[in-house]
Amino acid sequence: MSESSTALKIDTLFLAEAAADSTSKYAPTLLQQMEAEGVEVAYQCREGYCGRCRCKKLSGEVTYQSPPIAWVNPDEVLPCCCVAKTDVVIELT
Amino acid sequence: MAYKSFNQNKFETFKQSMFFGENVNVSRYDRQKYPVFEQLIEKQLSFFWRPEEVDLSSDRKDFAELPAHEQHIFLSNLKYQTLLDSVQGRSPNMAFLPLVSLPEVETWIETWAFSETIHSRSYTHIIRNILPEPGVVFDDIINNPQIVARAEAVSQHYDDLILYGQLYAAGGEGSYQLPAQNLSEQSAETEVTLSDLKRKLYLTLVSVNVLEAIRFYVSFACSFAFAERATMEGNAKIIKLIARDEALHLTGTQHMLNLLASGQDDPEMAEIAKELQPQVIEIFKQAAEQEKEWAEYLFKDGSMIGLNADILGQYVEFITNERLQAVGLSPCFPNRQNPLPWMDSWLVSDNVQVAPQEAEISSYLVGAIDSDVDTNALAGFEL
Repeated sequence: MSESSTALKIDTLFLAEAAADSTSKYAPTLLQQMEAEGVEVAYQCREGYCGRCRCKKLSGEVTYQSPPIAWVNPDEVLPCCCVAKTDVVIELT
Repeated sequence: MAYKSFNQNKFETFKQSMFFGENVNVSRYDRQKYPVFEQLIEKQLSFFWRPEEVDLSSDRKDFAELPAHEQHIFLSNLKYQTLLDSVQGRSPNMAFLPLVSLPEVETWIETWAFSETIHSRSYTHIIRNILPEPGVVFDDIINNPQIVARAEAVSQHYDDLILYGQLYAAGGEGSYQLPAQNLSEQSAETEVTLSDLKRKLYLTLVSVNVLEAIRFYVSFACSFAFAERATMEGNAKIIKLIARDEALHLTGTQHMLNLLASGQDDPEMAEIAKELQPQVIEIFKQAAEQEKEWAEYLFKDGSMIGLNADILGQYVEFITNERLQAVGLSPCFPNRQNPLPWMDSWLVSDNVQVAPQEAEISSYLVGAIDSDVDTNALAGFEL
């Protein structure tokens, strides 16, 4: 991540900054953003069907390029297949 | 009430609930009430694999070299998995298909059960490859008290639902005289109501979710623990393919349970889910305890490197918590970090490949270049 990045990890929170163009197929997924910042997130399929990376979202908006197959509650996100539309705060466990 | 192979009633296909509506007539997938089941079908079909594609010739030699207590661990797990997939290859069809009322849900159930038959075939493939006489393993499944106890636990909800479902299909709600199960018992009068049938369906879905989301994972952990030591790697490759399928199946039952509990599918189901919550949690807890007992049985003659009954028990508690949360329930064991962090790297499925030239067993890659790229290495790139 570049020097200008505002992404930060505060103990149990992770702030993912909005993707420049969240509709681009090259936009980094939330999971890629977290990995780039050195946050360890458990994952398995990276395609949205297993639900292993399911996280609680405290604020912000994400978008899915294709609808995830795994169940996602309204306050949760699947970082492996969503892109941050606005700055997003994720709770880390 | 009787099941119709091709229901000629006129009804609105996409206004049916998942279960207990009209029997499905036209298998149509142009539209879906719940598109996720269509996605699950597509995904499952894209996962198709054949056990024979995985070479097990080195596993035969590896198995012969394992100490007796590790052979016991390996074969016991295979027996247990054979039992689980024997049930899963038929019971979703037997129990759920007569009750289902949406084409995409019906076909998902069939696709799901079919993939379990591939798993069963793969156990035969493994056993045939590592033992000169495969029959002894299969024969022990119905004789071994430890396995029989597990068979009871995984099939009781299914059998209960199937029996009541058959009575309901034959004559609808009402009182039925059931023959005595054994000579000492009186024949019993049984009351069948639709709302009871809904309860039985809900509990069966929970027990299936538990089967696929918790019970399998003790065996998975042992298979991967062997492969971590570069032994029985062909087996681990098969288990990896099975684990990928199971991840999809558990997503399927989680969707069904969550949709039912939300009441959006059938308002009565939301009440039933609420009412049955204590029983649901009990099913999860009981399964976790049974799996911990199973771990004790596996390691009764000795542990294996990297794994023992205690740590496996902690892993069972960890995944039980996770599965409970996925269906909107609170964890029932103390919160802890994943005690087997290496499991995730085996369960990662974005690198599952079957063709040998694409991904060889790790022991074959002697002198190969490590092509793993740490994502941090790319951290400086901006798009």
